[in-house]
Amino acid sequence: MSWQVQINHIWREGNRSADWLANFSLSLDSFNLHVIETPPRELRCLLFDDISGACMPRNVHLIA
Amino acid sequence: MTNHPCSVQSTRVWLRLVSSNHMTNFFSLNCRDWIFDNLNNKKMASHKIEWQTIFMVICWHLWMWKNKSIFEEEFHRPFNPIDVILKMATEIDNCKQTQISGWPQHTDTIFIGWKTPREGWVKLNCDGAHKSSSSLSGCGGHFRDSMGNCLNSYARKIGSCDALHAEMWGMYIGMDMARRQEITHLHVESDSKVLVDMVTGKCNINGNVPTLIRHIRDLKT
Repeated sequence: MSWQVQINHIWREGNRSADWLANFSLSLDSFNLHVIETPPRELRCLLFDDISGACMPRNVHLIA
Repeated sequence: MTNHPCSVQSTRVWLRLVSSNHMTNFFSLNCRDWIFDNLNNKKMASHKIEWQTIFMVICWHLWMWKNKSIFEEEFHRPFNPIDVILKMATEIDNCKQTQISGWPQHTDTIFIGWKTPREGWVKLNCDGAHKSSSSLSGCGGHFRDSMGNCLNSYARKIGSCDALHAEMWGMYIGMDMARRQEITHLHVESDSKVLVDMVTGKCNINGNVPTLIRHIRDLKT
């Protein structure tokens, strides 16, 4: 099967929902892969932020 | 000199660090003036470090030590409080200096948010987590379509590995799932710049390429 894959870096502020899942994994009992079809409430909030276009500020240095 | 309800330990610290010609003023001002005077006065220190820095560091330590001595049974105030304070103040001052000389003074605030993938593409956001206290790692991520619908999510506890390997696992597991789900156009996003550079070949890897990086590269093609 051929597919197209593109891999990009994103700032932490744009990856909050994945961050939530990674932290959530630490509380799992087993080491098995845990697939979630219906996101729990906390994750739903973050997903909602994402699709509604919520932005987080980040201070950056501009190098002239 | 008795305006401030200072403990013996705290007074001892102030007496050592406030320069002698400011001593009278220091112990006689009311609280508000005392704070502003100390935050604005650059010449009070008997040391090379800026007084504002020392002042803030002293306040923070005295407050912390007082709390700890009340709430933590085992706590003992440090034997050499002055050294502890000066060490931290020097560190902060050094950081401030390098920041000023090392960076041009242009800073800006940018706003960052998640964006939906192009039509026909599925976006995978993946991440790793590492807790140094328990040396436990895990990873997770999810798939969303161009309408922003979440297709599904995954999470997996890994065990003991470093933060970068946790990120690698997050990407590998996600891409492997995508392949099994027969997704044809996948846009992967990770907040680990090192990982993205390793996978896309933008950085040189000394020695052997980590097995997981090789697996991710294999999946990519």
